[in-house]
Amino acid sequence: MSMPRTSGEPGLPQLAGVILLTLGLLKLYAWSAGLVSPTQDAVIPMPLNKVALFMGLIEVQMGVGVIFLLRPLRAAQGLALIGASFVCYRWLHSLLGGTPCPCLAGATSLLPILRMHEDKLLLSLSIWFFLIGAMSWVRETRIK
Amino acid sequence: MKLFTQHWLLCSLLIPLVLGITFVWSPAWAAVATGATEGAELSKALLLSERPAAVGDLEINQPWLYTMMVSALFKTFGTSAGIARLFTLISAATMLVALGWMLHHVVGGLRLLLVGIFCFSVKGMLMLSMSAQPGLPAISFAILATAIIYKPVHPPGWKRLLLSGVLLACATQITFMALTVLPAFVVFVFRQWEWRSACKYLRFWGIGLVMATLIIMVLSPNVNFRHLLNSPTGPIENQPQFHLNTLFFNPGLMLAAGFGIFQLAKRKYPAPLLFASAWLATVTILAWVWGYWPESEMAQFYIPMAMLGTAGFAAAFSSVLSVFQAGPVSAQPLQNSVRQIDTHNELNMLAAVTIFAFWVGFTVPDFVAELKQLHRLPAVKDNELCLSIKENAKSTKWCYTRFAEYAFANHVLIPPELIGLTQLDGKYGQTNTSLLKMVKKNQPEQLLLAANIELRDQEWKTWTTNHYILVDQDGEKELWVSRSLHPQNIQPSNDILRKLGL
Repeated sequence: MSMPRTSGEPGLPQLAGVILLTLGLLKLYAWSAGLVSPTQDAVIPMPLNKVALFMGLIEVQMGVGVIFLLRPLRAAQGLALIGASFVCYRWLHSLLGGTPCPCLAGATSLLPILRMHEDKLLLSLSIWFFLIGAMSWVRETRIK
Repeated sequence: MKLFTQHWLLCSLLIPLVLGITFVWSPAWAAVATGATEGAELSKALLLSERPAAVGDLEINQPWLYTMMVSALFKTFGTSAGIARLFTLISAATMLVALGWMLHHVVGGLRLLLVGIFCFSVKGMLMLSMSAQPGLPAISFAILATAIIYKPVHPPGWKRLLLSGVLLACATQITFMALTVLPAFVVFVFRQWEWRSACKYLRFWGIGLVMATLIIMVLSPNVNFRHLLNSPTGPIENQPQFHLNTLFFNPGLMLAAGFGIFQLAKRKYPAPLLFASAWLATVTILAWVWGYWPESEMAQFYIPMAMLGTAGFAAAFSSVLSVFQAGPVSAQPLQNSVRQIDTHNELNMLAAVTIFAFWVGFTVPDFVAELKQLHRLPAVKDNELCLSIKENAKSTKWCYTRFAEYAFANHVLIPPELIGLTQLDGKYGQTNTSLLKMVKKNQPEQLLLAANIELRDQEWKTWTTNHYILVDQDGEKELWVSRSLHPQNIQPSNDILRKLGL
């Protein structure tokens, strides 16, 4: 985590990092404010409030890492990995059903349009993280 | 692969081929209905082909050309909704080829597929391309009229200009909504040639337009200006509407179209993109001013958006391709330990990824749902209500229904003055009582009524139960047959439930 930074100009991974950090902070806020129900998650074997805490911590850590700490290649790999896991989670969730993960936390109550399209928005974001990560990864491997 | 990248026509034909396969694979050919206003359109064409003398009383809200064309198809190939749907599909395919011709100077090769993908993946467009409604054929004619004079190097000859005028006349005689293309067409012409030449060319084009319009009007069974001028510009009860905010449900396409508009200046305002921008601006302003847009005309938004989106996404995607196609590159010189990043390239990559992600996340699930819905469409032969109408079809002269697709499925005619009225519910001020008066005048042998509309009215209920017998029902739809035909009665489900003590 404490690797020296070689890419100073903010690029796509950094933008993705900011969004990831925001999503993570939203989850942590939702968990601390008790907005997440303790219903069992259909995909991850733990209650939703713990999922929010667990995922919030990972996202904050990854977001900070991508923005400030990780080398571009590692940041890209991290984003691709987290994007792929989000896509898998969404896919498994569509198969298994159940109460959805409160990925956008309280943001849906502020903007009802987000609630209407929450599933589609989260799937899009998952694909977006994965593609940004994968593309940056390919680009980094091409630099000698 | 090289073959496709070099020949725009092959690329333009791929999506129509997929649409054709979908049409053959799905039950769209024999379905009861694939569109909301389809039944009325088909009933009008059936009336024109079987009783041309009766169409004088037909209340219409659009010109006759579409009805005449579908009627001619019925006479040639037999009366079938599938024929009319195939006509729309062929129109959509022709339109995609015309768009391919217009766009191949802006984006080349396999990227031309994007216009079809963007356009027909949007919710409702797939069904519209297989529905007997005039919206898509009209747009197809209008785009053909534009594409035919698109020749970036040479000025078009007078024959081409005349033909363009004729095609646009056909478009406007199919539905007046095609007139929305006109401002974009003018922009397109003046962008291609300097204004003196453009004015000269427009003279030939105008001759074609006026001549063809006059010929079509002369050939039309009647030109009832009262009905045409009374055509509604406001919302029609029970008719599906298209709301402008629906566009935001396809953020991938919105972003792509936005990026396409961004490309306009960069590419020195190419005529096809300027045409798409002007068309999109026209329909947006009209929909906003009217506060109403029929759902069957939603293609007027999505086609220009798909044109712009194709240019936008193709430009953005080229940056993504450059990452994969380029060989290993040396890191740029480090200045104060900071690597320089190409902002333009980053922006393009961000646009490409965002457009793709949002298209997959928002549009693809809707497209898959629509495919499933298309596959589940009930066929005429499997629909009990259709079979019940068929039992007495031979002894039926008229059938009154607002569900015109059920009458058409059995080739049963609806009285001419009642086809348009039910389609334009409430717009001409007719009430249940005045409607009943017209129905009584025609003495239809069969009535397919809506329990929550006609039968809610006591006068309707009394008259119906006195002269007709209920023979079938499906949800809110109730089929009543004249007592003179001695049909077999069915007990209303309420009575059965009451007898069972439920």
